[in-house]
Amino acid sequence: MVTIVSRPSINIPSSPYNIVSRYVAAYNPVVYTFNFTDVPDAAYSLRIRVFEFGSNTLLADMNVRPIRVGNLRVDLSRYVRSYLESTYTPDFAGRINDSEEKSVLRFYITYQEQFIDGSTGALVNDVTNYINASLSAKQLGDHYGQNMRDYTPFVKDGFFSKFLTKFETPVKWNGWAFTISFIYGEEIIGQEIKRIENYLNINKSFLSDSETQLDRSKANKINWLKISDNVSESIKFIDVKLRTGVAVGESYVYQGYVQDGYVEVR
Amino acid sequence: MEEIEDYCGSPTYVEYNRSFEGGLYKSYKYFFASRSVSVFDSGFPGGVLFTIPDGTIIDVYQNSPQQIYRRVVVGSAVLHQNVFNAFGTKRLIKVQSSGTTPDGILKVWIFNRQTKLVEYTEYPTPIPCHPGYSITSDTVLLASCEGYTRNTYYHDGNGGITIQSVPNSTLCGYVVPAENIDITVIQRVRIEHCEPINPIMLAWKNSLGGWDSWLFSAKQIFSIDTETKGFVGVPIWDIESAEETQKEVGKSKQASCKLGADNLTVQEKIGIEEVLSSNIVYQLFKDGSKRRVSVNKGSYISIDNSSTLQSIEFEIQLPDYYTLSN
Repeated sequence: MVTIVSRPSINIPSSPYNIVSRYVAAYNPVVYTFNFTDVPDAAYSLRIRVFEFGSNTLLADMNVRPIRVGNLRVDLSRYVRSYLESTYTPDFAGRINDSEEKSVLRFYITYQEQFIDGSTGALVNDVTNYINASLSAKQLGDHYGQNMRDYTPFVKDGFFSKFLTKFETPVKWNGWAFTISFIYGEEIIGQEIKRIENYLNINKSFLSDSETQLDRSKANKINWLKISDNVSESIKFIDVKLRTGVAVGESYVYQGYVQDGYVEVR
Repeated sequence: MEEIEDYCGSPTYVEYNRSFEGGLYKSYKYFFASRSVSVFDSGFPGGVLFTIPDGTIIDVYQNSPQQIYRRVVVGSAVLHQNVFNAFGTKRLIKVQSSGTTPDGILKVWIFNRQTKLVEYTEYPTPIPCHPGYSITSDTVLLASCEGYTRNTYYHDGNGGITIQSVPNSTLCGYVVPAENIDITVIQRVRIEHCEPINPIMLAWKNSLGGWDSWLFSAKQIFSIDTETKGFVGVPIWDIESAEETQKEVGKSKQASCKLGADNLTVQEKIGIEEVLSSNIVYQLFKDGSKRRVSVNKGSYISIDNSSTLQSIEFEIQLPDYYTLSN
């Protein structure tokens, strides 16, 4: 018998609701740990298939052979990262944020025992524990390891996600395009999200602020966020953050949802 | 088996047995709508006598509420097999026959609510006449809460499944947070109103998956490297008029540019050094255009100007020029 002991996602007990951080860096190990309570013979194996979440497209199909009872770790990163790519193509026509189309792969696995006589065990579908693999790499010693927990926005008192920049204080030259990246995760799509900018002078004193709504259709990807350009000479710093707006209801549907034109025939 | 068109009575029935019994010619027909058999007697032969093999499955249907049956031919009778007794476990979503007599196939798609997968089975049948069945794509096969995410499963029309997944669903007990909750840290951005001399803007993909940028100063605008692609000999027929003994096949031309940045804090230098390890680097122009560049290996120099401010230099390789070469 085989069960999943751990997944790349992490559960964070919280109140009023638990958080599941599903974003993981695809250029680090993307590890599932299986526990085998029985290995009947040398030909026994576990068939693991990787599917794209939503479209259910098969991405990878593999067999792994445990050599003894206990835990077996399977790293899916090389399969997952081959579906990711990056180009610099932000389009801010009519909006202040845009998404990198192939920056995140949402996937899930199924697994099934294979026996020497050709029979198989029950097929287990792990679709409800899907993972979002992002085009990222974290470093040794980073908090939460390869999980992008610190960079994934959640609505939780006292928790604030970070932007995807390696600069402590990025610099923007007036008149030149400038963006800052963030993960527009599914955890915040139930509400409008706003960019808040506070404009500060050379003494870092507050001058004014602005509030602009983001384009929700760009969710579930890594986003470019545009920072206001051509600001006055008196503005020497801009403090940027994201904030929730009004709830927008449960209205979003994955691509590939119900097709038209199918009727019951008798 | 000889093909006879009367086997299939349009989509309403299939004739599965034709025999001579008790002095009469009998035609056994299974009607799909009523799932029943009718026997027609005749005093005269109406075509070739035949019987399809025992065990042939000619129909699969779902009986309300949640049980799936197969119709199996045994001799002149059609028996039903109760395939699934588990209430609510499985749902028939599509049935289709294909092929031609006697090499037909009955295709059956069943959604398993436990595994959340579609089980597909093919049954060989010498008479592929099933009218076909496909549940509408707005029929909910399964709706479940996984934590606060509500997953609803639908038939996609092709024997597959489409999932509508709504995270943070109030139907699963999620409480919508209040408005005006900050969800990110405050990211401070410094604004520079003066450009360096000979500015060149680079943007690069950093290891976190985001994009960083910096406006560098070009220390040396361009250096051009050219390389010949070789020579070929030229036949000489008249020494007096000949102009050359060989031709150059072509030349390649690459350009590089030395960039620098001065008066950097330690943190700024750390941020900029990511460009050295990024394999996705662009030069951005003020008009919005861009081109892909790469950082030359081994070209990086770091200069400590003081205990707190530093300078760096490195070279970027620009895209190759097109030349009049093959």
